[in-house]
Amino acid sequence: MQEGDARLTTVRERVAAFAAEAHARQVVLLEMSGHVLAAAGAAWNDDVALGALLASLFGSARALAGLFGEGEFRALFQQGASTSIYTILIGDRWLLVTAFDGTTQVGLVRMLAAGAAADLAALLAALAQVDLSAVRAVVHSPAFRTSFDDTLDRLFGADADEMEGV
Amino acid sequence: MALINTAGREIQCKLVYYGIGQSGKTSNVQYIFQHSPSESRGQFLSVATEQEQTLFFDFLPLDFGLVHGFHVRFHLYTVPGQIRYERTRAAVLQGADGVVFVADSHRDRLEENYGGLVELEANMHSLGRDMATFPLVLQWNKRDVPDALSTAIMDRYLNRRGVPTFEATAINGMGVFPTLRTICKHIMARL
Repeated sequence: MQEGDARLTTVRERVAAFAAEAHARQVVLLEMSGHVLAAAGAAWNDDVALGALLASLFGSARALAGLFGEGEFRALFQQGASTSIYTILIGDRWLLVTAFDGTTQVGLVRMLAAGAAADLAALLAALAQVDLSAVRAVVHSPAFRTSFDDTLDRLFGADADEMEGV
Repeated sequence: MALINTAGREIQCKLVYYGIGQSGKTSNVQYIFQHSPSESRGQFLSVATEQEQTLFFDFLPLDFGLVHGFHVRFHLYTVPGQIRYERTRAAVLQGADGVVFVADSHRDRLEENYGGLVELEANMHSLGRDMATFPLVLQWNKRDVPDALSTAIMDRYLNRRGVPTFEATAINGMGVFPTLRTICKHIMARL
C-alpha cells in the first residue's frame, strides 16, 4: 500500500499548492460520484456534503450539455456576492473545485486551475494504476465480512436478517 | 465506483435509492437518518423540493467506523421519481456502487414500477455498468395499503434477475434496515 500512499500524498500536495498559489478559500478534488479525494482550505468544514452537491451539479450540467449537442461542459463558474466557485473537469472522472473571494481574481484562478488540472491528470492516472488487489483480498476475507456484519448489526439492528428473502 | 484510499485505509461507497414518484425513497433515507446512531450519521441534505417531492436528490452520509482496519463510509442518495426528471436520475446514478429499487405496492402502479426498472437498466447500461452483476435489491414498499399487490405477483413481474427482495412500510421503518443491510453486504462483496 506504500506506493499508493506516496502517490496520494503527491496528489494532495499538488492540491494544497494550487490552493495556496491561487489564494483560494477552499479547493476540493472529488470524483464524479461525489467522493472527496483531497481538500485544502476551510471555507466550509463539511467536505462530504460539498462533494455531493458539487458532483450532482456537474452531473446535471453534463446532461444539459447533451441537450445542446455539447459533448461536455468542461468548466462551470458560479459567481456570488463574496464567494465564487470555479469547477473544472479533469479527464472524465474527477472535478477540481475552487472556492475563492475578493482576495484573488477569477482570471488567476482559471489559469492556475488549468495548470493544476494538467498536473493532476497525470498524478491521478498514476494513482489509478496502484494495485488494489491486496485491499480487495482483505475486504473479501471471511474476517472482514464477519467484522462488517457485526458493524451492520451494531448500527442497524441484529434482527434485520429475519426479514430477508420474503 | 467506490473510492478506495489505501493511504488512509478508507473505503467510500455510493448507494442510490431509485424508483417511481412517491414510492418511498425519501422515507427510507429519512428513517435511516432518524434511527441511526448519531455518531454514524452525517448531515441529511434534501436539495430543492417541490410539493413535498424530491426535485433533485436527498443525501445522507453514513460513517460505519473502523471495519477490520478500514474506515468505511456509505453515501446514500435518492433520485427524483417524477417522469420528467429522467436526466436528473441518470446524473445521480453516476458512480453508484449499488441500487435499492423502491417499488410501490399499489395495484395500479405495477406498470409504472416496471417502467422504472426498465429505465434504471437503460441508465446503468449507458453508464457502462452490467446489471447482471451490479448490486441491486428490490423493496416492495407500502405493504400497508389496502390494495397492495401480492409479493408473488410483484416478484414475478419486477424481479426478472432474481435479486433479494424485501417487504417494507418505510414510513414506519418496517423493512428499511434489512434492505440497507443487504445492499451494503452486496456492495462490499462486489468491491
